[in-house]
Amino acid sequence: MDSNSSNTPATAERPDSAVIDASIKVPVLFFLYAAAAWLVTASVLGFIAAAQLVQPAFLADYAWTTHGRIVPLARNALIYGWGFNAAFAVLIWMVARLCRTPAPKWGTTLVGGLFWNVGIKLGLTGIIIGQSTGHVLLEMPGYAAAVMFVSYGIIGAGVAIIFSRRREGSMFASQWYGLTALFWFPWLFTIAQYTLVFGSMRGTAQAVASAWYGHNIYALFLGPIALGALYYLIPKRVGRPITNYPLAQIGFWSFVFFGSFGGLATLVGSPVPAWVQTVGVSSNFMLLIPLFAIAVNLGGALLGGTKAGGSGPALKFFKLSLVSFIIVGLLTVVLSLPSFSHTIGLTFVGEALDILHWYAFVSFAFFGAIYFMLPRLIVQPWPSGALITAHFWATVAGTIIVISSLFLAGFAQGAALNDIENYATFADVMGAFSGYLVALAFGYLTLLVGSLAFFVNVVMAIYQACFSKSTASADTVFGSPAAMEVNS
Amino acid sequence: MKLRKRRKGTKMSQDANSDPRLEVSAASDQDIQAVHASLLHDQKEPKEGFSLMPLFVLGFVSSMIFVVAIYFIHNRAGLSDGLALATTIHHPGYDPQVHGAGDEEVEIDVFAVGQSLYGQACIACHQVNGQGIPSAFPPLASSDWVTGDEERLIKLVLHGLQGPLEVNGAQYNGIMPAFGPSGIYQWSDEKIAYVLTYIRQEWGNEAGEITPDQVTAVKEATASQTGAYTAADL
Ligand code: HEC
Repeated sequence: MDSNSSNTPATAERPDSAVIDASIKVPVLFFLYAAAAWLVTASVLGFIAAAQLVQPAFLADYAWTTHGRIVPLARNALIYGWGFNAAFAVLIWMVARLCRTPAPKWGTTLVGGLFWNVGIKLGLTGIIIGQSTGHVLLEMPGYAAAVMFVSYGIIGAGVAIIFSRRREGSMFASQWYGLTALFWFPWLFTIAQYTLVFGSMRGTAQAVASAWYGHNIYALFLGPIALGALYYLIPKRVGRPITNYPLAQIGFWSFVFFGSFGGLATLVGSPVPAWVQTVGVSSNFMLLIPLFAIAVNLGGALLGGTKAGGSGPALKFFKLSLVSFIIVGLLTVVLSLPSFSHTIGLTFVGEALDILHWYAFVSFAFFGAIYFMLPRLIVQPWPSGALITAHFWATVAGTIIVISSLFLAGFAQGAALNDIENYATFADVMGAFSGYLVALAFGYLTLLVGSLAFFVNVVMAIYQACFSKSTASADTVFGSPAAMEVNS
Repeated sequence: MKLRKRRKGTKMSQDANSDPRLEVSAASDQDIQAVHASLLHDQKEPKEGFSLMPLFVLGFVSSMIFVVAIYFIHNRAGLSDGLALATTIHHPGYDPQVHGAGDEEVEIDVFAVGQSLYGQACIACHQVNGQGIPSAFPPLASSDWVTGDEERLIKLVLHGLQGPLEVNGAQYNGIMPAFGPSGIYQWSDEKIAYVLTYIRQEWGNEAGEITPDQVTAVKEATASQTGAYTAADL
C-alpha cells in the first residue's frame, strides 16, 4: 500500500488492508458461499414458478410444489437467502475496511451466520408444510423469525463492535448507508412481526403494515447497503472522487426519510384511506431528490472511465446497477400516479418493479462488490474467467428478458382487464398475455444458468483458498493503487 | 483541496491490468477517505464552477415540495367526498346539514350509489360486466328477468332464488342469496332499490327506475314468504 507516500502521519499506524481482510475472511467467505447457494435455490424456484404460469399442471401434484407455495419460497430464498447473506458479506467487509479496523474475533459472527441460515431453512420448511403466515415477505412462521432475529443480533453486534473500535476518524458516505441499514432492519422486523404475525392487527391496518415492511426491506436495508457499496467501490475502482460530495448528504437524508413511506404507494387503488395512498405517492415523488443526488454523484464519477484499466465485471455491474436504480426510481414515480396505477395495479407490472429493485439494482451492486472483494479475501484471482463471463452475460440477459416480459404481460393484462368489450371472460384476459409468460420462463432459465456459473466460481474460489496455499502477498497480486485524483 | 496528481501505480503489472479475474483498484481506502473528508470541509471556500449547484439543488428541492404539497392537498383522503358517499351508503338520503336544518329534499346520484352497492355484493357472482359466469351465475346484461317485470325482480332479490332457471337460452341451477330481511345481507329497501335501478340501466339495459317505495310495497306484500323462490314460483 502507499501509506508511506501519504501525507498524514497517522496512516502509518493503521493496519494494512490485507490485515483487515484476513481478520474477516472466514465469516465473509461463509456468507458468500451461503448467498451463492441460496441464489441458485431461488433461481430454480423462480423458474418453476414461471413455468407453472405457462403450464399450470407442472409439478402441481403435491401440495408443496403448487404455485401458491413455490412463489413465497422463491421470494424468501431470494431476499433472506441471497440478499441478506450477500448484504452481510458486503457490509462487514466495507465497514471493516472503512473503519480501518480488523475484526477482534470472527467466531461469533460465523455462528450468527450459521444460525441465520438455519432460521431461513426452518422458515422455508414451515412454508412447505403449509404454515405460511400469508403476509408477503413475512411468510415464515414465527419460530423461524425468532431464530433469524437472534442471529441477526449476533451478526449486527459484530459489525457494531468493528465500528465502535474504528481507527479512522472521518465517516464516509458508505458508512452512513451501511450503519443506517444495520439499525433499521431489527426495528422493521420487530414492528412487522409484532403487528402482523404475533400481534392482532386486523383489517386495513394489516395491509398498510405489510406494504410498509415489504417495501422497506428494500428501501431501508438492501437498498442502502447496495448504495453504500456503490459509494465506496465506484470511486475506488475508477480513482475519481464522488462528483459533488456535499450533495451526497442531502441525498442520504432524503432517501432515508422518504424511502420509508414510498411503499404505501403500492396500496393505490386498494381499500385503504386515500391519504395513506397519497403519502406513498408523494414520498415516491420526493424520492426524486435522492435519485438526482445519487445519479449526479455516482454517475459523474463513472462517466470519465476508470484510471486503473482492467476488464473485470465489477465496473460493468456497478454501471448497470446505477442505471437500474435511476430507471426504477423514475418508473415508480410515473407508475404510482393514479392515472397509471388504476390500469396496472395488481398486474405483473408490480412484479417487474420488484425485480428491477431487488435484482437489477441491489443484486447487481452486490455482484460487483463480490467480484471486487473476493480476490482480496483469498489473495488470489477468481478461479475461472469463463464462468465470470457466463455469469455476467446470463444474468444481464436473463434480467432484461424477465423484466421486459413482466412489463409487457402486465400492460397487456391491465389493458385487457379494463376492456370488457373485447375481453369478456377471465380466459380471454389470460389469452392476452400468455405469450409473454413463455418469455418469462425462458428468462428465469437464463438467470438460473448465470447463478450456477456464479455458484461454481465461488465454491472453487473458496476451495482454492482452503487447499492451495498461495504465497503471494496482496501487493504482488494486485499492485499498488495510484493516488486518487480530484477532478478539476 | 489541493490537486494531488501522481503517476499511475507503476508497480501494477500489465497482466493484472487486463485479467478479468482480478479487479484492480485505483485508489486506496485512506485516499478515498482523505479526499472526501476534505471535499466536505472545503465546501465553504468559494470555487469556480461550483456555485451554480447549490442554487440548482435549492430550486429543485423547493419545486418538488411545492408540487407534492399541491398534489397532497388535491388527494388528501377525498375526505369530504368519501364521507358523503359513506353516509349515503349507510343511511341513504341522510345529510346532517340538511336534515338538521330543514326539510329540503336531498339529491343523491342513484346510479352511482347503486354501482357502488353492486361492487360490494353482486359483482362476486355476476361479474363487473354483468355477464355472470357460464353455467354457474346467470348474466344480468340483457336478461329479461332484470329489465322485465319489476315486482318479480324485487321479489327475487328480497328473498333469493334457487333451482333450475333459464336466462337468455342458457340453463342455470344455483342459489342466489336473499338481500331482504330474511337473508344475511339485511339490506334496506333503499339499497335494494338503488342497486336494481343500477342493473336495469347498465350494460345496455334500458329499463325504468325502481323506487324504495316499490320495494317496501313488495316486501310487505310478500312478508309471509319463507325461503328462496324458485323460477317456477315467479
Ligand atoms: C352468491 C352469488 C350471488 C350473489 C352475491 C348475487 N347473485 Fe344474483 N344470482 C345468483 C345465482 C346462482 C342466480 C341463479 C339462481 C338460480 O339458478 O335459480 C342468480 C340470479 C339472479 C337474477 C335472475 C337471473 C338473471 O340473470 O337475470 C337476478 C336479477 C340477480 N341474480 C340479481 C342479483 C343482484 C342485483 C345481486 C346483488 C344485490 C345479486 N344477484 C347477487 C348468484 C348470486
